[in-house]
Amino acid sequence: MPKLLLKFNAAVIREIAMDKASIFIGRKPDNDIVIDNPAISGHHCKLTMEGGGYYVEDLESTNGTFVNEKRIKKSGLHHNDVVGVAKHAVVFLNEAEPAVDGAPQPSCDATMVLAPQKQAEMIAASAAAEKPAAARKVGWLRIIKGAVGVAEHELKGISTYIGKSDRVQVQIRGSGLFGSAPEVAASVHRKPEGYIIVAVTEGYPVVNGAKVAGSVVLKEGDMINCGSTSMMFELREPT
Amino acid sequence: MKTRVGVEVAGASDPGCVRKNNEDNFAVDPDLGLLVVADGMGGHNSGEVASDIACKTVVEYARKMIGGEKTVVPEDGAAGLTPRGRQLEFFVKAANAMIYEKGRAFPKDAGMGTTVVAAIVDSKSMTIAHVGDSRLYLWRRGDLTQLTEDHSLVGEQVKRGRITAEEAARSPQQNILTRALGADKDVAVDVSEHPLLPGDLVLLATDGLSKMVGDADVAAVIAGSLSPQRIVDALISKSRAAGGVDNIAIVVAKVPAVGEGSGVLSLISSLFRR
Amino acid sequence: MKNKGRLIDAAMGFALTSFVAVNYFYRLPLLESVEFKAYDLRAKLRQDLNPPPEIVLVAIDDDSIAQIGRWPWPRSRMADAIDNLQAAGPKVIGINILYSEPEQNQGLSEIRRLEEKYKALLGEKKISQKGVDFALEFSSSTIAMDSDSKMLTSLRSAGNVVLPLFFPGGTVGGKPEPVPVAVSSSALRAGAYDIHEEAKIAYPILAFSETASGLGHANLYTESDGVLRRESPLVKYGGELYPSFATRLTMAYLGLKIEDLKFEPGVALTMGTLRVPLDDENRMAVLFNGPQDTIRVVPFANLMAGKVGADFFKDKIVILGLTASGLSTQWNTPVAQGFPALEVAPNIIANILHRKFLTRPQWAERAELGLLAFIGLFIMAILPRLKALWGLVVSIFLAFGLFGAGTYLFMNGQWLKIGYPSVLLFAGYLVIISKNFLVAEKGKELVEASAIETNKMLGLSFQGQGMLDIAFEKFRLCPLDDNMKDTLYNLALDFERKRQYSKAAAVFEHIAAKDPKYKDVVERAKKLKEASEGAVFGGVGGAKKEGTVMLSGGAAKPTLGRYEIEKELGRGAMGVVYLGRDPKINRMVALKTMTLEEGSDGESMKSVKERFFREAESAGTLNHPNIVRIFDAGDENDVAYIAMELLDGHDLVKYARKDGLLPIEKALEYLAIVSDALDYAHAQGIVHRDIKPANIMLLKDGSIRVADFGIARITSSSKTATGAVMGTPSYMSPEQVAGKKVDGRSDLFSLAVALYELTTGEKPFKGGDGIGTLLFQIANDPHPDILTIKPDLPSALRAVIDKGLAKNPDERFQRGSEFAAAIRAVLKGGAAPPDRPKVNLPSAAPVTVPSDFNTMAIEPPQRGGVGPAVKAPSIKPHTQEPV
Repeated sequence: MPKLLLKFNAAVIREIAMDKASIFIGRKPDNDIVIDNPAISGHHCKLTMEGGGYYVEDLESTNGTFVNEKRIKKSGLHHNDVVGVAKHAVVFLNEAEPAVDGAPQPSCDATMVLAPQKQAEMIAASAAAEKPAAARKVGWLRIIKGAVGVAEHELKGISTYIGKSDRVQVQIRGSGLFGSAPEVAASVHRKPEGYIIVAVTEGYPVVNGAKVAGSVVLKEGDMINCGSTSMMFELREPT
Repeated sequence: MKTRVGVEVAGASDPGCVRKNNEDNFAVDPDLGLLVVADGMGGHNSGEVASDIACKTVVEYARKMIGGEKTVVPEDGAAGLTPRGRQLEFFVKAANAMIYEKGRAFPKDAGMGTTVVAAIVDSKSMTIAHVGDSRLYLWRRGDLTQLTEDHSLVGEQVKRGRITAEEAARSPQQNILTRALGADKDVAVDVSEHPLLPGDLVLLATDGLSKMVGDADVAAVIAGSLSPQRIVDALISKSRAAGGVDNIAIVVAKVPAVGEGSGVLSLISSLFRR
Repeated sequence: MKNKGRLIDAAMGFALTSFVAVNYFYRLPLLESVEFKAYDLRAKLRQDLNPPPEIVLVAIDDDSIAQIGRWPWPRSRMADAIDNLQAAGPKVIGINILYSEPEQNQGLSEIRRLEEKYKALLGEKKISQKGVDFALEFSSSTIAMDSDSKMLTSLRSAGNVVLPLFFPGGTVGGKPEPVPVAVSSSALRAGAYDIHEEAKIAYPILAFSETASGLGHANLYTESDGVLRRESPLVKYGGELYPSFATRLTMAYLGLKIEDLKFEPGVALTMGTLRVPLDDENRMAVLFNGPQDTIRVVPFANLMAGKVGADFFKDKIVILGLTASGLSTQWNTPVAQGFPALEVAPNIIANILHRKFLTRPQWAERAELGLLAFIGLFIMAILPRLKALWGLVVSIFLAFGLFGAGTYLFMNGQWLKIGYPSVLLFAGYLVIISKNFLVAEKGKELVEASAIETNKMLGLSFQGQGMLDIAFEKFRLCPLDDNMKDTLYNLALDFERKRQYSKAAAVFEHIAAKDPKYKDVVERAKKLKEASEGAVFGGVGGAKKEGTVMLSGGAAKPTLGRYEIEKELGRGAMGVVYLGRDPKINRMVALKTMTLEEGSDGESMKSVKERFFREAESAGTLNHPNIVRIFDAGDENDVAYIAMELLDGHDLVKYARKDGLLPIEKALEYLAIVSDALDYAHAQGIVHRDIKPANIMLLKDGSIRVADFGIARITSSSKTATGAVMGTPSYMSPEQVAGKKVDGRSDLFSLAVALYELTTGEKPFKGGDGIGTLLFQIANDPHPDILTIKPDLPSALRAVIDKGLAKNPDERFQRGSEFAAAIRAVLKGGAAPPDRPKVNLPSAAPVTVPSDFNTMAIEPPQRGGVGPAVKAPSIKPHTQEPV
């Protein structure tokens, strides 16, 4: 969990844990960090945690909010960044975050590298800051009928393909007299909105009895028929 | 240019309107169906050096191991990979070793790194390997799908559903990579296999494109152009028109659509092997 | 490669087509037999199992022989049979038994002999005729016993019997035996055309021949595979054409004479209104009616027993012959193996009477060649390009088409040889598909590359990129085979060229460990080892000569500028440091090298060099007893170098530890000297930028030297015009950390850090987990009081250090001499402690660097085009630079 050091000149006045999604700094008493100084506006600025990252946003203060001596409107915060409000400074300490950013302002234009071993920590840190419920379930296809090979497929990659070809992950049995089926009948893609099934061969996959024309978002328990193979879409806890 | 493997490819790189130097690189080998795009980073010109090494190493190894008399497949590799997947993984890992060691041996290149997305395509399938936030999109019947997951902080967050793709596009942390070539002695490479259908179009691009041109616009450009070269040109000019803040490198490969003639002809042509 | 494959396919297709075509033209048995099989298959489809109504067989079968007696039977029995038949009123009788000799009847000859004897005795009057007329007796016995005569009588009375003749074979060429008129009258005169000819003839005894209503040859000719498919209606013998038995019977049935027969060679044989088409060999295809017993048959015994209905033979063609086993011939026919010979003629007759012919149409040959060409082209050009499944489908489709068309035509009496194109199609399919299968498998052959091979590949790539150390590292992982020895040998030469003799020697030794006889590895390793070591431990004197001798024997002594390279001393942040010798004045120097690169902003190599020399020159102007001298600077190709004083001593790093501290007085004294030297340099406008114990040398004679003056600047100048910040994080001043412009006061801050360290054994700023923390501390945090670490230090020193470590340069000592004076004042035991400096708010952001606190380059925060570039660590740790 990140820490904030409130400093006046060089002296550390207070240490505050950033234990909630947003922390308001200002002169008025309803702020999380109250600094009784006339140079500080009633609601001067707020520090927020958004999507695993931390930001500071100026709330139209009179004297402005600075990050590493640069006046900002809104800015990302990284370990050791110094948020300046009048003569006070708030040092943002996020030990979990590897030291990535030392420039006066986090850049939006240049690419930079994080050491890979730090990645896990960082992800873990951002995960910890998140509500644990956010852990995302993983999609599975359980073959009910007409399995070729494995009966259960975890939708591991970003794309999983269903078809008769031996190149695809989920192989199906064809239908009709000759057991014919398209090489690739359908594909399931992991998207932010969930798993979607795309009809690669138009009208071939059938979800809950309806032929799929373009793509359909899968819901838990959906039945997918391809050729003479039937499978059920399931969501499971990640292992 | 038309490849021997039956797809049409084109590629280009552009420094954009703001930057002087171009740290993005691309390479194609039409005979092998090999497509590479890399976005370098590092001091001075070592970003260019890194992306250049990435492209050249992948091409060099592909020529050696696929283009030779025999197809050489590395013995070991990540579990569950096809031979082609193992090859591509090895090429990318070799590029990583080259960049990493060069950074160690030559202080001026210390800390250089690059993203890379590489693909081997034929008319029926493709194998993708990538590290970093350069992307590979598949355009199929008007839909543009990103087949790579960005190895960036926001990418990981999007993957975990913490933020939406829209939020990610606005995030100031976009540039933080969680994986890159040259950062460490070894690198984890994401390799995936995808079938291709006639009419499919594969687009490899550095983040210079995604930052400047929205997916819908990209899809529209692809739908409106016939040849890969025109698509590449149109995307670059569109990116420049939007400001061209970053370098950009694009490679496009198109699987010819059957049945661009009449039904009978397409039926007959489908009888013949390619 | 693909085109080549196509070419091979086409060539194989062409070869196959040619082969089949040659077989077709010459009717070679191999493929002709296939054609025959196809013929037979179709023939079976065309058989008609209804017996022809016009023909009845009288068969001498096993039952008849069992009932009547053993064969041969006397001709009188045949005569009886003819008589019996005749009574039933047949149109024509054929007897398919050749009586070419008079019957040998022992009884008859005995009677004749007795009659002769009797007549002779009677003539000699030895006996006399009394009562009984022996002559009459003899005569009646003779008649009773003379079957030939009986049969002749029957034949004559029947008057409609056709008898066979036979060609026993033999080679045509000699003069044919003349035949009686009775026989030749059954023949046509032969013209000058090609027709089957026989050399010998066998015909019924003259009396029979004269009596018969016609003679026909009973020869049947099989094809090359031994199957009877065709009838020869005419066969040439001695200038005459003899009709066949079947032809003759038909003619008799139709009431035609030999004159009514019209023969058009190669076209047809016309008998009255019936036109029998003939092929180019003047033969007629026989369409057999079923396997056997498809002709109505009456056993001989039944005939004799009168068991046959009166009308059964009425107006029929009746053929009498043998079917009993062991006595009759059997033929292989398309419809059956062991087809009774007796049934052949009826089939032929039925064909003719019912006009059931099979002909080769005139266009047959053209069509067949066309088909061959078509199939040939198909297997040459189309089949190889089809997908496997479609190749099969199309080929099967074609095969069905061929056979269907062939069968359709066959059913309509036209024979097209579909066997050849079918064979071509089948063989072509097999060959092309199996070849493609094999070749495709071969093309897909994947070779597994072991970790050894991949390591070798990587090693070669590294070597190609000039990264020899890592290349060696990779090669070491590979087994030392001959190829690898070669590779390593080349790598060692590369090391040699780069003047890394000890490494080159290591590589040669690596080879020698496995194979000391490989090339000259042992010698080379020895020479290189001596070259690199000899100069170090041998000193400058005698060993030098030795070294020269050794080196002149092996590798030519490398030079850099005018300096001869003796050996590598070590590696620094900027490049390799060599021990060099100035041959002119025989002075040993340390040569610091660095690679010059063109600037990123397109700065030319020329201006990069200019800047390098300007920096080196200004450092070279420093002439101070406590500053390491720079003698010379130069460049060769892209390598720039600085030649400087070679020192015999060590740096102060080992005194910066708690357990290795110098006596306080010594430490202060040395740093005061350094401080004075810095004062001198700063007065010349030169800033060191990297003051630290590692750069302060204590020589054996006890004197102090400040090393690497200006090197930081020179190094950075060789890299970039914008000027990266060079320094060692632990000793950096706040302004240095912030990337601001630095002056001499920055060096004094670093010196104060060194002072702190050399007196307490601790660093004032220790940092945390990351270097960022350290830099943050330098910029923001106060340093710990020295007295809390080491209470026995003079308290005056605290004030000196506090002033020296002031964050704001203005609050520090402004000159080296001031600092030196303050230190010396502490030595003397009295100093005015300055005010504790006020700590400012952070003036710069920390710069993140990895946790190696050595000399490093830090990019200035502002770089590139758009906005501030966030820089990843770009620091290369380096080893101490020996001087």
